[in-house]
Amino acid sequence: MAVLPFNEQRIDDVPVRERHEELVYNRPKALTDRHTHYCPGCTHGIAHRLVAEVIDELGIREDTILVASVGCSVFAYNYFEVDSCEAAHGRAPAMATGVKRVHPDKIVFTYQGDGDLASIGMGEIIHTAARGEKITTIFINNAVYGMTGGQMAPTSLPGQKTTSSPFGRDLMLCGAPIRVAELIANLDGTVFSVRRSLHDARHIIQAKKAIRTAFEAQIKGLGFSIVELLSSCPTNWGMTATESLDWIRDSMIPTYPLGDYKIAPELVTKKR
Amino acid sequence: MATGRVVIDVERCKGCELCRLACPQDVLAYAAELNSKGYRPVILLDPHHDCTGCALCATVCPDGCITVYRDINVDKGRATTGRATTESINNVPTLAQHPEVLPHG
Amino acid sequence: MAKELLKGNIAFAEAAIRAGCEVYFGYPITPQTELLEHMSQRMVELGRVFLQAESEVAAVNMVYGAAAAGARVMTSSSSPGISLMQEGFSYMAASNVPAVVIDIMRGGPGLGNIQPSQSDYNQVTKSAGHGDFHPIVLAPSTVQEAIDLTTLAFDLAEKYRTLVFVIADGTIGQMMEPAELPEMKPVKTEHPAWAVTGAKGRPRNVITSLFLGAEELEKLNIDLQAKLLMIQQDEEVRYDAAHLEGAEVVVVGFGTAARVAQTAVNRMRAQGLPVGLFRPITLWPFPEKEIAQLPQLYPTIKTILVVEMNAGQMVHDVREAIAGQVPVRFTGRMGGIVPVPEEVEEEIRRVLTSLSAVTPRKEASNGRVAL
Repeated sequence: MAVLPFNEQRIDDVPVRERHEELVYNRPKALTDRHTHYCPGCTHGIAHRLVAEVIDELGIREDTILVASVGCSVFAYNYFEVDSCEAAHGRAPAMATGVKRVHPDKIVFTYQGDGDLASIGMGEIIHTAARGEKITTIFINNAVYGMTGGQMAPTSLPGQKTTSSPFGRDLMLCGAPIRVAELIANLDGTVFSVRRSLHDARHIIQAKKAIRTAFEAQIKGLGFSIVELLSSCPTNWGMTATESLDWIRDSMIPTYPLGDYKIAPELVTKKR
Repeated sequence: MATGRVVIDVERCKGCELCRLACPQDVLAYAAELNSKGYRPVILLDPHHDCTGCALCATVCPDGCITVYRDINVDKGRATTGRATTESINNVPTLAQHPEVLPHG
Repeated sequence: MAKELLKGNIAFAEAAIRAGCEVYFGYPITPQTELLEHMSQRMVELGRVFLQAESEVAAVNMVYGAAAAGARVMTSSSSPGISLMQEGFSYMAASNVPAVVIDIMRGGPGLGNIQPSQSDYNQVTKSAGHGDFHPIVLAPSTVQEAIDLTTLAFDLAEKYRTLVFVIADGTIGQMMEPAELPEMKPVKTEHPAWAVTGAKGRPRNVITSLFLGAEELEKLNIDLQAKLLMIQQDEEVRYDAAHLEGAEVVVVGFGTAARVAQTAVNRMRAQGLPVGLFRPITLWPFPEKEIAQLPQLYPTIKTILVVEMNAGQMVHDVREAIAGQVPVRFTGRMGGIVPVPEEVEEEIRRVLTSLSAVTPRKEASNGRVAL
């Protein structure tokens, strides 16, 4: 591993060619300048960035309202440069319903983790989807409660050791993991329900496309849209950031197959 | 092969290494120093101008620390078309106008 | 507008609509269901928002969202439903968003029953959710007052960016009385500057109840307490009184209990007995000062008798206000039983009889009455 002091990465080292270069990638405007509190390598940050990129690309920053949830993403409202509210644990879809019903012309999205959405807030998310509430939900599935220190989530894998399932998740005691994208897809009010992963660049690009479609579904006024994102939690999984990406690929995806569980006909783009 | 470069906001970087894993050209390295938060940030180490500006590093960066530039071949027009670009930014200031992303000297 | 015969629950709903309520979220529960049903028809007719939520928990969080979005919003429920909504009340208090809540109380604890009760006085005035806050609490005792106080509730909620409860019981919710509704107010078209409406051409707004720094949260609490103090000092205290002149016994009650007591007091006054009535209309802010002054303003007062439809909840606030100047006694029924005027009358007579048996009270040196 090459190690260099900062001062060796100075501007002089980079060939001066400002006149002949184009910007390929820059931090999206829909993110604030604030440094996130997420652990190094936590893919929450990628999900934030993708949502912000989509908001930028769709040009909806000034029309978008975030409803943040409780869990590691509790401070999401600090990171998105949009009007935001912070809901009670699990209640983001209900709060978003309140916001959207008052401002039907605005773009309202919730950003929820698996404890928030699939445990305490299961009632709210199911009914919000069933009503076909015209909001978008970004659902982060990292198979664990992150903020409170790695307890078992409804999405924890069979046998997964957590701080509240020290002997591994016992399906006889705790039941089996809940597959949210499939579950929500079953409801008539849902127009878009897919699962994507954030474990490598290719999947991240696919995830971004899905997020974009989910927002477009809302802009078109079609109904409820949700993107489930398999995400890492290096700290609570006890892994390095890069190991945790492998764990998503090797352990999570078999339980949570990536795929399109519901796409309304209006959202299907013709393949060339 | 097109060349490019990246500018890393070393104060924002948490040294998670995801960009290094994603980089096909192996031009990202750890800095010797820690940033003010105590993380060891990643920097560009590209003495042979191997960086192609593919932006895979920026695509996987959880903290949005990476800005990517790519050469435009003046004779032949654009050398490559970008993948993973954002349409939001067009006229972007040059590095020199961006003191906040300059590495610590 | 002419008087019409109105059911209490309908009066609450229609008054809210005429006060410019734009958004209603609720969940069916007896004995407030007619309120929700009325909203389901009228709000839709008027092109406003009505939504029957999947639970009280969802309903209150929808209210939170709509309030954060700057709307005139209301919900209604009854005791068990209010317990479920307490989560949202606490968050709304911390976020300083306005909303109106109608609570048609029923007998508890638990599922209890659906009979009229006042057993949630403490819940509503003192612990509407976790954390240090009080909502404004208004307690009508007639259908007309239900209308007037619901109208007032929206104004107070917005004036102070606070929760305002209008609490009644099944009696007031279900009874029919002639009452006059106000003219329809236009729905406001502008949303307050602090609301989340999309950050168009302005810095973004954030509505949150999360303040991790202790100093930050203490400051929020200091500001919240300052607001509550302002409400207490802004002459928002409301009460009603009758026959205090020459009264030896003053009956204190609110809502339905006060109506029953009023009948008893009126009858006894007709018989020349020295009995008066004091009825708090705002339960928070409580008319503490006004009650404290009663023995000084009316030196004939020898005893206060508090009548409630619970085990004795408001009586503690009355005792605190009276601070030992005169004895404060209590009588009440529980389990959803509404006391009849005869039993209140009997209790007042018992107090009057016991007064004649003891020596007259002495004047203390400070002018206050010693016990």
